[in-house]
Amino acid sequence: MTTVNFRSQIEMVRKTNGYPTRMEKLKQKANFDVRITASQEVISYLTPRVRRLMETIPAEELVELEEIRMRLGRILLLRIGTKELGVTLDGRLTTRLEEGVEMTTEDLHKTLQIVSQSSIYALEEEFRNGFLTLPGGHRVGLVGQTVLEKGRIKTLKYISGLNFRIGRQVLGAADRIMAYLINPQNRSVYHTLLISPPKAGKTTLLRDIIRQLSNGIPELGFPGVNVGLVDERSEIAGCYAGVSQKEIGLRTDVLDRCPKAKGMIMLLRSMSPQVVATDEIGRREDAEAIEDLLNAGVTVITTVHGVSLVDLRMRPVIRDLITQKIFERFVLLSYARGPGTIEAIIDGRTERPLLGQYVT
Amino acid sequence: MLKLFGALLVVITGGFIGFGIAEKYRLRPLQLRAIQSSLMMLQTEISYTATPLPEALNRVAARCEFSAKELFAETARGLQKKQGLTASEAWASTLLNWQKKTVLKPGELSILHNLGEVLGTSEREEQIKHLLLAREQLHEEEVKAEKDRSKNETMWKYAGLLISLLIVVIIY
Repeated sequence: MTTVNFRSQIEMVRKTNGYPTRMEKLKQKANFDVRITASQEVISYLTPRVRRLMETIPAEELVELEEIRMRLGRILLLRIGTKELGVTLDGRLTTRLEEGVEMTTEDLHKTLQIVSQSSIYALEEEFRNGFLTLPGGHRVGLVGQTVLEKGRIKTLKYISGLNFRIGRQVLGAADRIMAYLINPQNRSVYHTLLISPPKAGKTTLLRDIIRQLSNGIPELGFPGVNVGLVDERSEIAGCYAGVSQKEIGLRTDVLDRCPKAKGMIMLLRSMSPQVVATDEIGRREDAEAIEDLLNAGVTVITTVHGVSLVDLRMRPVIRDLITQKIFERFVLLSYARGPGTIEAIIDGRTERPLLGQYVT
Repeated sequence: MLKLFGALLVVITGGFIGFGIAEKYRLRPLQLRAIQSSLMMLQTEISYTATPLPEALNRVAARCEFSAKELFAETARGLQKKQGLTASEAWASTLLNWQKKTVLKPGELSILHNLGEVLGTSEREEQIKHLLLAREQLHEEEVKAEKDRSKNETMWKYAGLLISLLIVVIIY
């Protein structure tokens, strides 16, 4: 077991960059432990039957566990890294999905009970939103039959699918790029847009940028600033009962589950942030809120789904933000060498790459 | 001498048995009332503050009368152990131990058991309905228990003593 642990750690180190330093190795080790704990945390919320199956799988095979999907009448699916695997009745991972265990009403029902601490009545808001957050900042997505009242979603019943998304913090995920995001002359932060396809580590990277800006970065002589975070889907700070479950820095104020545009303005008025961060912009009002922030001299750091600048230029709201040259830095992410691969960092004003290659 | 001692023993035992039965009649309505009021507290926790069940149960346990305390405290503990127990399982297994310490009849226990089946499984309004129903049923039982008590408590207090005296007189 130890040899396997060691080997996969080395692999992880190699994946990120050529020759790891001692410090980086230590960080990787810490992250490795965190990843296993995160998987175990989530597994403890499954119905005992599934939990026992999952616990027979060797821990090191679940290091990269990202999703657990339970769908009524269909098989239990685990997403581990880029692979999607089933679990057999004797607790082995399998690529032959027909061998996998099927989820029953009982499995879903009991899991839902455990996840909600047997308090469905306390989760009305969560059912309306279709997800809930667990201690540790992991998320559970829910689908079922929606119950409407006066045209608004009142609640969900007959839950037919649960999706556990394991939230992991990778401390130091933004180490390599922080220097590009800070203006060396006046130590101000550049307006930054992270561009990434799904699952490429966009949220993880944003979280670490927030943490570092908020705590300060001694190596860069950056003192740390007040960061306002609008966390509409509770993914960045992973708030449970209003308290952030992830490390997001000591000068960060979180507005949990707040609509982005409203939240950005609220933070601007109430918390006097130097930096406002939010995830996945794209609506008209988001762009308007960003303009307000610019007028108030506040830096914006945000993310968007996409693979390239060309791709983004086809989308109405984002196109305007790009042509107005609002963002000073674009960070392009991909899945090429595992999640969190940084393809390029581009100067927003000149559109020239500062790091990596970028073909327009 | 031995005869007298034996007679005394018979009288004392008879007396105790009688008192014991009378005590059961006295306790039943009290316990039923205690459970009703604690269910009322639970309903308040659920309807006004939507407190998650483990915490709500603990709060009720802290305030309710002694006879009902264990049922709530123990169920909360079961839920907080994080061993994948649902509320109905925790409640049912607690109920099994707890019922030995009460004087409740099977019918009354099954009301509680049925309540446990739905505890925490639905939205607020439905939870309130279930709790109301359980309280109503328990109230009916309480009225019956109270009637039984007024009929039987005093009688049994003396009956045990008197019957044993009668036995002594006949045998002596």
